Amino acid sequence: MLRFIGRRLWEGALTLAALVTLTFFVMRLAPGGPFSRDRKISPEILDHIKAAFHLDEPMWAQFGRYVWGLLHLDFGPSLRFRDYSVGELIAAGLPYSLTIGFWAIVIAALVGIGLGLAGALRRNSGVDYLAGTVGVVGIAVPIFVIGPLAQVVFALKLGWVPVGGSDQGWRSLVLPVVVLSLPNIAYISRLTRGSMIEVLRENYVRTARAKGIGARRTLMVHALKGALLPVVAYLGPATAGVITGSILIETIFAVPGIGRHFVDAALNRDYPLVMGITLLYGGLLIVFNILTDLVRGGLDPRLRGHG
Amino acid sequence: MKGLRTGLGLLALVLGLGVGSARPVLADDTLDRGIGSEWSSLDPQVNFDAAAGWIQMDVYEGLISFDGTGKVIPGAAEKWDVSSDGLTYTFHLRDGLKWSNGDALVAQDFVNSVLRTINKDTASDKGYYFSSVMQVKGAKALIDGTATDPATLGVTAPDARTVVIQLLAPQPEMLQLMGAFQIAPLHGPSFKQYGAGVFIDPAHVVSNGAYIIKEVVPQSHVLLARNPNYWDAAHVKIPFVKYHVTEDVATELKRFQAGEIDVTYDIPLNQIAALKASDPAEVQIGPSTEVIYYSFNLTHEALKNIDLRRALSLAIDRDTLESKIVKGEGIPDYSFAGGFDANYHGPQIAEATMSQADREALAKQLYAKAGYGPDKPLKLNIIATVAEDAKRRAEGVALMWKKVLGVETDVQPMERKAWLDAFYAGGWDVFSDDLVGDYPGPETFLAYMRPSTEPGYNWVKPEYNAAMDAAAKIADLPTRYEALAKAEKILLDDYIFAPLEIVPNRHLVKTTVHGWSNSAAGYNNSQFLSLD
Amino acid sequence: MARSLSTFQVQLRRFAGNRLAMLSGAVLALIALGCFVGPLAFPFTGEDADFDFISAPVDFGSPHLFGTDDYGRDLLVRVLEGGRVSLTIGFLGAVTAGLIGVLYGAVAGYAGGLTDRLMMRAVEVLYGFPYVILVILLSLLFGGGNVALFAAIVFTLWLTPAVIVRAQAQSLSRREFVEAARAGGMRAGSIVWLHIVPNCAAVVIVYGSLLVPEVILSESFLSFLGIGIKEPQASWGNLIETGTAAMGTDLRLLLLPGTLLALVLFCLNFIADGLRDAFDPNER
Repeated sequence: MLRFIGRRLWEGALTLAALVTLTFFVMRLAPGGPFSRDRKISPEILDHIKAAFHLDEPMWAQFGRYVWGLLHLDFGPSLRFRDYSVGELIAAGLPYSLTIGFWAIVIAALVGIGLGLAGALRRNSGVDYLAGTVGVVGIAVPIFVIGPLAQVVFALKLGWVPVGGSDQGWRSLVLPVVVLSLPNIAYISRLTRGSMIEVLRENYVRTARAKGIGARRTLMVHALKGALLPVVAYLGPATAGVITGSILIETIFAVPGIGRHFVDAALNRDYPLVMGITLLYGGLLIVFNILTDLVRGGLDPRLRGHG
Repeated sequence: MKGLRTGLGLLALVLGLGVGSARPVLADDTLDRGIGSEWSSLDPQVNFDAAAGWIQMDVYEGLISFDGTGKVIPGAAEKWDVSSDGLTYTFHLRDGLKWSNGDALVAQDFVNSVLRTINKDTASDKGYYFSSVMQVKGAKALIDGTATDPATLGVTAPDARTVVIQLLAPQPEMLQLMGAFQIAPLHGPSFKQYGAGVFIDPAHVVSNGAYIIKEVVPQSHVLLARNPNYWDAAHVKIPFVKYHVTEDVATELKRFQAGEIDVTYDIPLNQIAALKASDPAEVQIGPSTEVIYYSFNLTHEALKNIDLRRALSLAIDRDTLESKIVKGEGIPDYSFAGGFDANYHGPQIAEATMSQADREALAKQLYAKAGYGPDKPLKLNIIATVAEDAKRRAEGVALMWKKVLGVETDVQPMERKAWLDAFYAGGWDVFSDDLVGDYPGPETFLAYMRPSTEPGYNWVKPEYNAAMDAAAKIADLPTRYEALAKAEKILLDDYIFAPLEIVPNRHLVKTTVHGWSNSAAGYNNSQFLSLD
Repeated sequence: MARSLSTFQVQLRRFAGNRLAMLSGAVLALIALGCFVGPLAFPFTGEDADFDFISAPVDFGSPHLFGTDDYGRDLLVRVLEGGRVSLTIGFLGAVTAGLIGVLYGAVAGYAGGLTDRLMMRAVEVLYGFPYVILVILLSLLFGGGNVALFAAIVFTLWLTPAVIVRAQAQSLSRREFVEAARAGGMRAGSIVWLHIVPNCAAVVIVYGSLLVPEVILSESFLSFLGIGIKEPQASWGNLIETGTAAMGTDLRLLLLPGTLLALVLFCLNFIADGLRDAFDPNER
């Protein structure tokens, strides 16, 4: 067990190193630079600015400098937000994204698995169709439609919660959390339902059911374990994605999280910020994949010692 | 430290505390203003953004200031003299000026500000304004490193209450420039002790404006509170001002409607008409200093033909384009530098007085004369940004060229940085271009078209340079405007671009906010506003 | 069960017996037919602007049945034409991404060991690579056209199915029937193709039906980066986005394309269910 975790962490570090190297060099191929402006500022001043951020050095030197900084936990300065370092920007935004993402994924997992199981156990019943409808609506109605709609209904018409911002404590979080959980509920319930139906047909479950002995227990213990395998595999990367913030959610609800940086940093060619965000997301992804594999090992003993 | 803060955030998460303070959003004592995207810096010697400039105008006071109508008014300086040759500006500071911490404010603080702006370690874009636009004596040499003695700079403080600025050439728009690009004083002790980080640190930042910084949350807001040590504090009516980052214009509108924001940064294009009908008193729209024009690529064989360029310009029905397609309340435009400053009587393109039907008839003739027609249609691309109004405008122009002339146009929207890069790369036929003037006067626009300034236009016209050089020597503003009008005529006569519209400033302002006015400069300093 | 029928015929027959799935199939076919043929029935195309007839309301008496948009273009025709593009991209993208994901995941999960680890770490690197940079580079490479769009969509979309299938394949490879096949000397490639992939079918079909709408909607995000379907050409993605922006004043612009997309999804949902039941290897 410990050996497995140790090996995965070591592999994770190598993966992260590959990601950092790839991103650092490929990112520079994009046209335009962090300091391209509507009009050209005088070359001397542009040189000053580039020199201040070491962008005038050869690429390998810049890379060496960046890696050296990383080893000292320094993610470099932001080129777009001149008052902040990348570390400060992430520290300022992460708590917001984390809070929203955490609750969204918890709600999505509970509701999604619940709906999926209900649908699978009572196929083609009212519950099943309700679950199916929620699933379709959650996927077909994208966040950029349901978000503004929720704002109009719950903030403007009913006045229960604010439209956006972050200055009303938990009330500011309600809409973003609920809207972010919807598509995930849809995915999770569909996956759960699908694999549960599959498992229910398997011979060992059929046998157990036919014998009628402790059918309920068999279901809960064996079937559920098997049925959750693909759901858990989905939850790993999904959680990493959701807790690092959603660009759409944060833009629509004016949340000062880090999700916006994923798009804006690249559009602004804010190289250090792109790197910082990529590192954070990549690192979380690796950690969650390790956790996923551990949970799956717990659900399916056949997978233990393999991975 | 960073780890600690993340840790605390995580702790708050686990405890279910959520984040953010529980302060009510719309307290009666707070003016909530939207500023669009996040400020790039609150460092007064570095900031280059127009919207962050609003925060700076509240927090710092330059030698001069703007009122809501765009008029230059005394700021830290109560009066000033200009030498008869227009080369020396002498500013006299008010008596007894103080920093927010009670320190005395002296003339040298302004000199230090300029020195820090042009210092290469500051890495500020703004240095360009001193060397190239204002042409302050000695600035260029200090920037490119040929001089190192700060005493050679043409900004000096002969005594504690006098600032003298010496220029290399007469600049009749000097005061406008100083308003648009505020020269905020630099408080030496706090900067020395805490470095550039002090400007976002409410505990240590020292300022001289009507407000002081109380709270800064990146991507969210800046909260300001009244500065008791401001010389005119008795007349500052609103106790708190909160600038909100409002990235998404649709969300901003809803926050305005919910009462979370008092003054918006912009209005969604497709809502303007409805809002004007339902709440006319809240809609505030007036011209800015931004002109939009479509540049033709002069290195492309077909577009070297002036008849063709003229035909393309005339085939655009600017009224329909702005009122029915873009719907952004833009003002149809037939000149380049005119329409901003009422004192400038510049030329328009020759056909501006014709009806659109006549213009289109002429366009068809010119198009045929250039050798194109149904059998041999012209093929063009338009490079535009992905911004909603830019896309709509490009689509509209493409539709009109198709309808009137039969030109086949391919609109290529690009994200902003790629669009900027594309201009210099030159793969475009028509470039959806825009220019934001530093002030309403014509010179800021016309100077930009000098062939030496922007290499991408490839326009060679010695007469234009000569006309601009002649104007630059004139210190008297009305005479200088006449000379500039001659230069603009040379520019417009070559049809190297098709001017389309003057972009408006668009704001929604709650009727509880008093003292708001529209000006091209776009400043409404919070100290001049009041709340019910 | 009659032995004379091939497995495939049995599966087909089973699918045909599922009334809900068959009905959904018919509705989907009808929508597709409407999108591909429907616009021909109108005297104008969805790109013909009429500046004198802007934002006309719903009027079944006029040629513009569902009115026009704010360029004066017929809304119904635009929605149908947009369906052509969106359905094509949606299905093509989902099938391609699904196929790549299934094969990649099945191979990794079955092979296990170092191969599996290398393959899954590669997936993590691709997951982590900043998507916007990728899109900008693709548009540079392919000129922002449909090729760039397709590449941008497929590039990241196959990753999640790969992870899910790999998880499934990993547990399958430990199962008795796979062990038996291995012991019987079956080649690895054949085991993956004949035993692993079919047994992953259920989860893949379900997930694949979820990919289609994701592709259709992600297309509108990509146009925000200057890649993909460009105005005046319509797509459901950009129609829904425009409709959302105008939600406060004119709900019709959102409802028409939105309803069609939701309808397609419902159909896909039931078809996926039917297919899954029909192809279930345990149902013999």
